[in-house]
Amino acid sequence: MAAGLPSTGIGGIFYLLLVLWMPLRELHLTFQGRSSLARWRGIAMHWFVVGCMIGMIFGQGYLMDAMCEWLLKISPLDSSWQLASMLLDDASSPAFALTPFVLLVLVLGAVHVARAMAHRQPATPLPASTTAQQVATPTLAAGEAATV
Amino acid sequence: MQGRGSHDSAGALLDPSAPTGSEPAATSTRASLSTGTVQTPAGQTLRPGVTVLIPAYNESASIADTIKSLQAQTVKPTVILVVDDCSKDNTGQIARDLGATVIRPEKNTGFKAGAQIFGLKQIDTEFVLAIDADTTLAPDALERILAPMADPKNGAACGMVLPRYVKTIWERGRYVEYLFAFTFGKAIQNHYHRPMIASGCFTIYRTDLLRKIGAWQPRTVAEDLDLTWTFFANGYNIAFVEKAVCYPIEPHDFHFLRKQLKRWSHGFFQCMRIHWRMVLDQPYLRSMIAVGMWDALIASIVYLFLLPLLAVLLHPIYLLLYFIDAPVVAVPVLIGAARRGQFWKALISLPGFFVLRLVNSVFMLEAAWSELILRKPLAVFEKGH
Repeated sequence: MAAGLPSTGIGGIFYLLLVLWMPLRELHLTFQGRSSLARWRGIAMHWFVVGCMIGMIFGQGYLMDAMCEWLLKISPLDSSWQLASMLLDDASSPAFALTPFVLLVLVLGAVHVARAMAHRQPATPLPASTTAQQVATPTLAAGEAATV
Repeated sequence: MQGRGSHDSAGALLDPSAPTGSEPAATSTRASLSTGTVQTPAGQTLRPGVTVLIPAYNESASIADTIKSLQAQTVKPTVILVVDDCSKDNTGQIARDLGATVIRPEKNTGFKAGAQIFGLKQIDTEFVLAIDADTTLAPDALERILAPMADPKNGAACGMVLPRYVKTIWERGRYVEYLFAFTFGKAIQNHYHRPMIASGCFTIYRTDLLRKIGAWQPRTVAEDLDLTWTFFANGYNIAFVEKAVCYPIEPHDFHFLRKQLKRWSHGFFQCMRIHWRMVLDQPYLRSMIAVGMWDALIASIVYLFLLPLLAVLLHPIYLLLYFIDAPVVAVPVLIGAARRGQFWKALISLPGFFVLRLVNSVFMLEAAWSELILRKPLAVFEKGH
């Protein structure tokens, strides 16, 4: 989730879960004396935002259901809008909603598999001068400025 | 601020609300600079204070605003150092007339990191604030971004970024993108001590640590992302201070936007190629990058190929899926904007986000194809605005 990265997909769900995880983690830190009131306030703010987001998601699901029913009512049988209403209905089904969670678990699992595989190989970090050769050294285009 | 004495810790700052060793505060606090000399763990003797390092090439249109905003800070920088990278205009003269220290390499260094490295050699203060020559700061930005540096575990701290001008559709899209990424994504990343990137346009560093880890490297076209991950690889945290705000000039047309997005997307994959092993060992960061990369690639394919196909082959109603996450985006954006008194500005700008996202997708796929499949890295540093 950074400027230039184009989606909220499973990343959005991942960040929601990170927020939901915050109080448990913070409780642990509080017992260790490493927390503060300011951090708890921050968590409360995150929970407020995430609560609103979840509310909006359910609201959106409700609207999509209502739209399906309305389309079914007003469109003639075998019309393309009947098909559309069925497609919309599919999009708000529990199975469709669960898919991103399954994907998230798979992606996070893949990271840990990759990590385990990387650790099997001997770690040979390259010196900066060598790693610099892995990608070409950029040069300034004529007339271009050296700032972001 | 520049008094002499002895000071044997790396943090020459006062920040009573964020004691050393505790988790960083979720909300930023203010700080003031103390006096004395600073003996760093690396054996360097530095004076307390902040040098603002501004690499500049042909920035005569914007450098004056940048320097004036620095001079209006509630905590004054010790030195404003402009590296005039052999500009063809009067950038250096403007900066000099406004009281900044201007240095000039013998020839153009060729990239932003080169100018920054050239400037870093001249710096003898405890902290370096890197900002761009077209970026202005809120009056209390320096004071606020200094606060988390009281914690020696923080090697750097970055601030909130908002476009200075929000007029064209690209600027509006970027405005919403920044509100979403900074007030939601980066705030959460910060809670777990792993902001994915400390933006190069406004980040403060410990001078000694910066030198120790090699500072800005010219090996990628995203030197700020590369440096951020290098800090993590060396065991240091980076703090994000939402209330320390800077205002860069963002691309106002597609010509400049294209250059910026090309650099960002290619830079992301270049950094992945260099740091992938380290990233796998960083809790939270590895997961954030994995889901970010998945979304960037899969969503791009969905937006550019799958949805149009479904709309043509099955039904146009599938085009609604371009906006299916609109509520998820709108909530943090509008809350973040409302807290700044900019609710309506954000609401009007929301459509720009969805347009920009499509454009982002094109550049992300192109970069992945070039960097990962063809192994043809982007080798030209082009300015985004």
